[in-house]
Amino acid sequence: MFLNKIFLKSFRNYAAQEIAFREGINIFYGENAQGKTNLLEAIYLLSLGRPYRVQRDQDLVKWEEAGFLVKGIAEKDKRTLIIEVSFTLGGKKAIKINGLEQKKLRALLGLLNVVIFSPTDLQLIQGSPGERRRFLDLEISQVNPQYGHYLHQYGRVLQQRNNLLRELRERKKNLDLLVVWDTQLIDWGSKIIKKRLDSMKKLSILAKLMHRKITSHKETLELKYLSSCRNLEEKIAQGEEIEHIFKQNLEKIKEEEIHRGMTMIGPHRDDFSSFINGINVKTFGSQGQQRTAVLSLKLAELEFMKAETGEYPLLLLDDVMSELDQERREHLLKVVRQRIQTFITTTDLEDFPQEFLTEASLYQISKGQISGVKGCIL
Amino acid sequence: MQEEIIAIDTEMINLAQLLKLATIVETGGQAKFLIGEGKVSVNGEKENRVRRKLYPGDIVEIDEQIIIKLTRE
Repeated sequence: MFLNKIFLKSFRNYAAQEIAFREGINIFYGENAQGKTNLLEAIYLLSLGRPYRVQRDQDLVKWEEAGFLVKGIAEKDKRTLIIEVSFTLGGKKAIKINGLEQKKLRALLGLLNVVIFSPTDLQLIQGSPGERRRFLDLEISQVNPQYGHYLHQYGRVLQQRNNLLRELRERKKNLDLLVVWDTQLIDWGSKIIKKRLDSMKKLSILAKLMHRKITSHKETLELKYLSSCRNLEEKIAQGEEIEHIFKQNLEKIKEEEIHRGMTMIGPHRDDFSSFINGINVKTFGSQGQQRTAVLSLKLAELEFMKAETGEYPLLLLDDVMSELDQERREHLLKVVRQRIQTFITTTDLEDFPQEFLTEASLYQISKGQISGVKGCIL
Repeated sequence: MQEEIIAIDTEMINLAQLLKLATIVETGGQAKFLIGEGKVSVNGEKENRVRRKLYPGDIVEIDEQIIIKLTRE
């Protein structure tokens, strides 16, 4: 997979811009607030159909413009792939793949996979369970588009079930109706849990090896999936089906769910934890350990996608060099140099070793204008 | 490179079991994944058989960073 070219129209601070990329390393550098990260935002949008940093699609539109267009030309499995994402204020987002209009955002999943690494990723350790679920879900749905469908269906059922629970609390509906939603919740939910457990196992072993490497064998990193179903993994080990365990747990908690008017167990309440040498990184890890754990996790994600799809995803590094110390930078760059197409934003080229810069293509970004400096095809 | 020496009290052990014994992986599934990804080699050659038989004297390398030498207890 290789991203050849992107074209931006009225996107963030770009009026109209075409940029060609090279395989290998592409570095965007320049002062703050010139539009470096906006390029990563565009690539991310082509990959997942949603913005990475801003909340809403309309925030991607250039000031005083009516809409935006982002077009990417990539090479995948020796074929040309053209992805277009456009949006008009007051209208809907439109997606085209090779010129064909797509109804669903999910059609994009798995085409142009990305892994993004930015300073905010520390939230993967420090943040709420929701952040970690989003990380897992995004990663799994990229390598397994079917999973995106499961999530969608589960979300739909969850909402309906919650509505019903609230109505049951107010005694507006009959309790018998709950069974219908329970069956579906268990059905879709178990599929999600199963996929997550499976991915977690792979991710965990990759992260462990990566972390050993980065810390020169001093630390062992372990990831553990925390399910809202009690003793999930023990019971699976004893040969019980996830569906059955989920059902049992739901039955036990039915009264309370009605009382609270919401669904209290299921994949939407799950989480995962990281442990270094058996100690929970979130509560007891030092700042440095947390950063290293995030780096290991991100690099493991890269390897995980490679293992699942057979090719490395695009790697987007948003101003991460300044956050890492010398040793960790070296590890990151070493991985990057393994023929992964990488897009890096930085304010300071001095953060990179000279031999790294000679291999890379450099783009200087200034006020939404791009000038190629070295190795670029403009 | 980190080197470890692991002693077994049987004549032989299979690769997946050894990875578990050395606490590199926790489950057989993880071992299978790791070996399938080509991250394990035995006596300098990449190994893709999960149950490759190993005997004392064999050297296993994992992800170009951990070396396990097998001996008899």
